[in-house]
Formats: sequence, structure tokens, C-alpha cells
Amino acid sequence: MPQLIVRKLYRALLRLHPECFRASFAPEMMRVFDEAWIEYGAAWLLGDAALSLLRQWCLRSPEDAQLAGPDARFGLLAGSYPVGGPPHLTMAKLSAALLLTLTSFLLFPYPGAYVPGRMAGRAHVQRGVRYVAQRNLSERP
Amino acid sequence: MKTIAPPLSNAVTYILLALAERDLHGYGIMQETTRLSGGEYKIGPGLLYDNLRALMAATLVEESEVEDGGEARRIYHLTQAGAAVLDDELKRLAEVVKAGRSRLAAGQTTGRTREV
Repeated sequence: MPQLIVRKLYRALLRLHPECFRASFAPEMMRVFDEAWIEYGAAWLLGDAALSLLRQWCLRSPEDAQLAGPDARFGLLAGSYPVGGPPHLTMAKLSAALLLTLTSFLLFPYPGAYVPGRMAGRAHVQRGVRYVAQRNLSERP
Repeated sequence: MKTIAPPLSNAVTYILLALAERDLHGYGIMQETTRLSGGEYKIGPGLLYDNLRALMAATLVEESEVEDGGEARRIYHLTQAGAAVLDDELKRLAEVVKAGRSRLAAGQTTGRTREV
């Protein structure tokens, strides 16, 4: 898939993030996407963005929303203006986010946060501990 | 303000470890995490910035802007509080390793472990 299309898809996923997160980090994430494109692969980065989308909408606590401060909304007459209180999830936003996330998952099956075929961090430590203990025992006279 | 204390998640541990040596930008943290874990653990931008936001809210990490090729770029810096939390986590992990070694050794001597 051409980079331009994947880039647009990634940008679309970022645009569906909550306003407070998007305003703070979307430009940085776009830049990282451009840099990490070759090393990490488009599918992996898109999968990460899709998971991030779900994480930000579903797991973000009210405290995070308060940290973000007032939300900026677009008005018909005067451009954008601040609105008090945390931004709210609308059905339209939720539907669009779910649709795009599902599409992204179908197009690019996410390999997970861990590299396939390898162990997770804690499992790796446990195996290392076991290996050292076995080696110590085998070296005993 | 949210507090972050051990036990830390893998992502937070690796982010703090990456920043322990020097200040890094987002992609630098991703690369350092991959290098530190020997390629076994990778952090994507979504997970990275979600955790950075939480770490900054807990004042364990600070951000600043630097010029990079004529463009402003954010870099992240480990605070003293962040270094203290990382130190606590490393001590906790060292205790886990120590306890794990002694228990496995005891299991070997009593014949409780067997080869599969």
C-alpha cells in the first residue's frame, strides 16, 4: 500500500482521538510515524494508533479530561471558542472511531505490543532467573 | 495529581530507563526501548505518548522544546522524582530476582522441579 494512503489513514486515526490528546500529541505522533515508517512498518504503526484510539476514548479517566482544561469547539459565526468542562464523547465520534478502528484492524492485523514469537518482559526475567539457578546448581561439585 | 509508583508497567519502566541516561525525543525513546529490550519489546507512538502524558502529569518527566533542523521538537527529561521512582522499581525487581533465584535453587535441591 502506498505510503501516502497509509499516512492519510494514520492521520485520520489521529483526528479521531479526543481533542485534548490530539492537540498535545498528534503533530509529534505524525512526525514519529514519518520517522518510524520504515523501521517499524505501516501495519504495526496503524495498529498502535487504532489501539491508542480505543485507549483514549474508553480508558481515559475524568481526571485526564480535567487536566486538559476547557475544550475548544467550532462556532458558526466566530470560529472557535472555549467551552467549560471536559470534552464529551458523542455517538457520532464513537461510531466513526469504531468504524475506522475495525477497518484498520481488518486491513492490518495488529501483531501486538510484543514482537511475535518472543516472550513478554516479565516472562523473560522469569526464564532468566530459572536459567541462572539451573546453571548454578549444575556447576556445583 | 495522579501518582505513579512501583510496580510499574513494562512501558513506563522502559520509558524511564530510556530517559535515565539522556534527554530524548519521542522516536528516540522508541528506539532506545527496542535497544534496551534486545528487540523483544516495542513501544508505538500511541502507547508512548499516552504514558508520557501520565508521567508528565505525575511530574516524573518534563518536556522542553529544542531546535532540530530548523523545526521545534519536543524532548523529554527525567526529573528527580522520576529517577527516584525508577530506582524504587529497580530495587523491587532486584528483590524479585533474588527471591526467584533462591526459591528455584531450593526447588532444585529438593527435587521439586523436573525437566519436561
